[in-house]
Amino acid sequence: MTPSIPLWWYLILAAGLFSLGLYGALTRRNAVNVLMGIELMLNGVNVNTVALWRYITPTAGSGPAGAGFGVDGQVFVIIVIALAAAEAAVGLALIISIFRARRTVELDDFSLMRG
Amino acid sequence: MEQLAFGVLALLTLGAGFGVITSRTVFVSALWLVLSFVGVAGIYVLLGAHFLAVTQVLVYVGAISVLVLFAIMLTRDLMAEEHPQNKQWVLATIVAGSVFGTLATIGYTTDWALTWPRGAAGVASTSTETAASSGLGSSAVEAIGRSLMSEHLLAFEVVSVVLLVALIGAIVIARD
Repeated sequence: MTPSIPLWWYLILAAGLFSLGLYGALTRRNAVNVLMGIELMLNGVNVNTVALWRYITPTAGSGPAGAGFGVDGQVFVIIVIALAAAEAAVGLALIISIFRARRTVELDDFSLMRG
Repeated sequence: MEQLAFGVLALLTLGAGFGVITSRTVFVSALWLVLSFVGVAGIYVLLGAHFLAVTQVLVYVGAISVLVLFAIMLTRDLMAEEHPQNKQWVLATIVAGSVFGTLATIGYTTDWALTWPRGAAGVASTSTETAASSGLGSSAVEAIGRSLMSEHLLAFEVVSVVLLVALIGAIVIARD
């Protein structure tokens, strides 16, 4: 059985998600919006990982006995999701903390560390 | 049929992603982001990773979106929404466009079957069939659990420490 969807469809979808997130992270003024862009980029990476696992290395790692496939790709993505959650929590805490001190979330006003 | 489902989900995901970067208010951006996450969950289902789809809905749609909405509510001030974007959008368009071009070209032109000894043309395609017919369902959940607790135990432990540190860090940073 050949999969009815070619792999490169998924790869281009992932590239599109990543590029949209990159554009958002580079252009938005609001710090929360920049974090949203980063989340979009991470989602693109995850789609890429799952697609490549499914099409190229479905047998990598151990899987259910006798099923003939492994779950390494899925485990990778789960770990990336956990790290993304940690990153979002710390990032939003930083934004709230800076908002308390400066009463703004506009990135252009964050020049505390400019020499 | 599968192509149609992929098309709808890809349109949903990319369209919502476009909404995230174009909408003028942060709140509307966050709602578009939720829709994009749902689309990615659908893509996972299409790829046979059902457990990941559930995780995506729980973690991204459930937790991270609520976190983002909380942050928006807590930091809402008299934000001037007239200029949600800064002045480097030309440069950002060039950078994001060239990144997309590079990634799409690599994805389309690479012969992926050669990158793994048992690549898509070999054993993997038969095992893909097995995986599809066995549903990759509940057995995959059990396999992921076993894999996290045996082969990937170190990564699992490191991630748990990172989560703990992030938790403490977020609390310490956010309250002062």
